This record gives sequence, structure tokens and C-alpha cells, in this order.
Amino acid sequence: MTTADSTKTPPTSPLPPFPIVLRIKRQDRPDAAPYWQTFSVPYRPNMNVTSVLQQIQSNPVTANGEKTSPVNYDAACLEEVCGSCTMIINGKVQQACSVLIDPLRAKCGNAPPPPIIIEPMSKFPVIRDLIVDRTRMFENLKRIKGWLPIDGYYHRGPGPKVDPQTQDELYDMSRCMTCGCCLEACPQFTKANTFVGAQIFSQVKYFNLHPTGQADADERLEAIMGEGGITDCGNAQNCVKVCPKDIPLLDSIGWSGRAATIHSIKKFFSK
Amino acid sequence: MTKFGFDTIAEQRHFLLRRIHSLMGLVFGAYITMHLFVNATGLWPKAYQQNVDHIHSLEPMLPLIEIGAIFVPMLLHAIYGIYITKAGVKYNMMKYNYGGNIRYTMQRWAGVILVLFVAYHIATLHKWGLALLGVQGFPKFDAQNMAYQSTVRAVRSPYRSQLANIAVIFFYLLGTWSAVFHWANGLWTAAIAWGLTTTAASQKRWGHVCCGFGIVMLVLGTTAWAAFAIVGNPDLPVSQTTTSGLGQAQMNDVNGHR
Repeated sequence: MTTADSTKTPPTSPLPPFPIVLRIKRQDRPDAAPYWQTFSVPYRPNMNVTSVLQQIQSNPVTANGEKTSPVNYDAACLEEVCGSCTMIINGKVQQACSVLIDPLRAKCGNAPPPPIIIEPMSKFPVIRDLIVDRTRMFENLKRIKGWLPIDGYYHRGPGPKVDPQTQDELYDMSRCMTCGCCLEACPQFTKANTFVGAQIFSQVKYFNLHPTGQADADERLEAIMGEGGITDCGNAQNCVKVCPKDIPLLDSIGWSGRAATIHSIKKFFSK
Repeated sequence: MTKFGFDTIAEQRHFLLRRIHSLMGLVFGAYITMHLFVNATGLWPKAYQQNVDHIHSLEPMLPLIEIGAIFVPMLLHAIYGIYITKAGVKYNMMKYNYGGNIRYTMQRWAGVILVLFVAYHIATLHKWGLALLGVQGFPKFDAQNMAYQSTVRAVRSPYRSQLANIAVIFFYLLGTWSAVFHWANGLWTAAIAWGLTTTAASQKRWGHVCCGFGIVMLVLGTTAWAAFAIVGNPDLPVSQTTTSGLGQAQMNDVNGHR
């Protein structure tokens, strides 16, 4: 079929035009009780959950026709690199921008698709509706010094060379966008404890493998050897399954365990 | 949010406690391996009696070995294990039903079952159990020439109620299987905790090894259970379980003990 043909006969969508039904867990204030609302949005092809939420925002009316406040949600990059639109969609933690409506509906054949269930992440305090406060993750990054120490009074010249093998390994871990999927799915990470989770173990390995980052290697390692650190990992390994960036988190956890073992023995005998 | 790090005594103690917890699990697991091997010889009553005799030939050091290599590791592992599981775990096996998460959940449930089972097992069969408190009515273990018969009685027909006996038989099977799973899976997670397996690929390989080990343990454990709970004969004459052979007077004495 040529381009000219396709403009003459518009392709008919194989999907029935059922409206997109969303059941959203809402919460007006951090201290308010959550409640559920159902929304119905006219179907358009190639939508994702974020664009459906945009439609609700532009016309905040529930499926029953009641006017309500717009559903609040986070979204920034719209292409799965910022992590801000992370929420629980149909029971699984994922990015709203990455959940496409058409594949979800394709599974239902010609039957009306079930409502899409949307909840805020459960392991972080809710600010409003689908927006959560992930300060805990950023505080943890500060504690492990999740950066390279390159500040000084004078130009220090080019940094040390990184061999290609290390570059490969570092690149995998550099993709972390602090979205929190690994923590949401982790049974050891709760609101009540101080566990740091896979994200932090991966960042410690990331900066400790870097030749410049090695200056703070011991400090970073010790930051994950106390309460809430690597010893508190329970090896459920959900983190690696839900990581949208396919970061080899199991390698980071195993590396952290070995580094902690060696460091504790060294410290016992030589410090 | 509390501070975390490795610079205070409290934090170092936390690290040490977790690693001791893991190490004690390995020590107790090593004992369980031996225990299942010995008890699987219950299929051959005479060999079983001999093995029990060998263990008891460690007297007078036996209590020390029992305390140091079995009871202390077991108690540390169990008490701290229950504490850390209660202190902060949010099960989500139904939501995220991945293999690792199912094993994670089963590991903790098996641990709870084991605490109950081992408590019953020791309370009723060990001389430091309820016997020490003078509580009667429990099937005692009689190492001297009656190891086989007394074990069969303890697992198969300890009480007058047939219903209670069936419950005990299944409790022993559940306890044995829980121990096997907890030990094989614990061997797998310990390798990650200590940093032996540092990649997903090596964890998978070591997982296969642990699985194979677990199957061996399962066969041994189930054999041991069946030897006493299914095919065991509590009234087997003592002459068939001892190599020395006892006189009639001793036989009467032993039978009278029942």
C-alpha cells in the first residue's frame, strides 16, 4: 500500500471504541483519607496513561457526570527518563508515560476492557492524589555522597581514564532515574523502617567503581553498612523485576554484600 | 528519619548481629544436614541405634557440643530472625508473584513453622525439654538400646488419641519439609549476603546448586520421616536393634519402661 492509498482510505481501527475507564485512588491532603473515583475518557488511538490523565485534567468530571477537582499527578519528561510519573497501575508499579492504552485493550479482544486501576505509590507519603513525596530517596543519595568529588579552587585537569569494561558496567547503573519502583515493590522497604533499598546499593557501586568516585569509597560503603543498609536486604529480588531501566540491581546488591564483608574484616584487623 | 552509617557502636552492632544471624543459620543448617542423614538410617533400626550410640559416645562432651553447635546457634538465629521479620516486612507476594518473592515469603513462613515445630520437637524428645520440668505424658527419647523404638513411638503413636497422633505425624512432615526448604534457600541467600555470589548469573548458578542440595535433603528428610512415621514398628524387639543382644531380664526392664 502506498502513502497515497492510505490517505484515500483511512485505516479502520481494529479496536472497538469503548471509552477508557479509569478508577483512581484520590487523596485531597497528606493527612486526608483516600477515596476512589471513576472517570471515563473518550477513546483515541495511541494514548498512554499520562495523556488520559491530561484529558481528565482538562475536563474533571467523573463517570457519573459529577464535577470534581482535577486529578493531580506528576509528569515531566513523558519518555521514561525522569521517573516522576511513577504510580501503581493495575497493581504494578510503573511509569504512567510508559503504560500504553492500546496494548492493554488489545488483550480484551472485542469485550469492553476492564477499568484501569490507578493508585499512588504506597511506600511514600502522598502529597495529593497521585503525587508522592520521595524525599527519602534523595536524602539517602545525600548520605551516600551520590556524586563525584570534583570541586576545588583550581582546574584539576582531565579526570582519570575509565576503561571500556568499567564504562559498560557504569552505564547500566547510570540509567537510574530515582523513580522508586524498586522500593515500592520491595517487601523489606516500609514506611516504618529506614531500609535504603536497591536504588542506593546500585548508586554506591556506581560511584565507587568510578576512578574519581573512589576518593569517597569507604564513606559510601560505611553509609550502607549500618541499620537500613545492605544487611537488611531480604533477597526477594522484586527490585530487578520491576526496574523500568533494566538496571542489574542483583549485581549491585551482591557487590555491596561482598564489599561490606571485606570492609568489615579490614576494619576489624587494621583500623 | 534516623541517621544510618557505620561510625557508631550501635550501627556496627547491627551489622555484626545480622552477620551472626546468617552465620548461625549456616551452623545450625550443617547440624540439620547431619541430623537428617542420621535419621534417614531409621530405615535400618540396627544402624540407627549404632549411629545414636556413636553420637552418645561423645559424652561427657556431648552437652557442650549440643549447646555450642546446636542450641546457641539455633536460638540466636530463631530469636533474631523472628525479631527482624516482625520489625519491618510488608509481604506483597500476591501483587508481585515472582519466584524470588515467593521464596522470600516462604522462607519467613517456614521459619515461623520451624520455631513451633522445633520447640515441640525439643520439648517432647530432648532431656532438656518438658522432662526437665517433670511434665509427664510425653514420648521420651531413650537413647540406650531403645533409640529406634522410642523415636517411632514419638513420631507415630505418642498419644492415646489417634487424631492427635495423625496430627503429630503430619506436623513432623511439615516441620521436616520446612527445615529442608529454609536450609536450602538460606544457603542461597547467605551466598548473596556474604558476597559470594555477586552477579545475577552466579546467583542463578548457585541457586541450581542449592536446589540440588535441597532435593537431596528432601529425600533424606522424607526418608527419615517415613522410616519412623510410616514403616516404623514401636514394638520391634530390642534384640533386633542392638548388635550386642540383651538378656531377657534387660528386655523385660526395657519393655516395662514403656
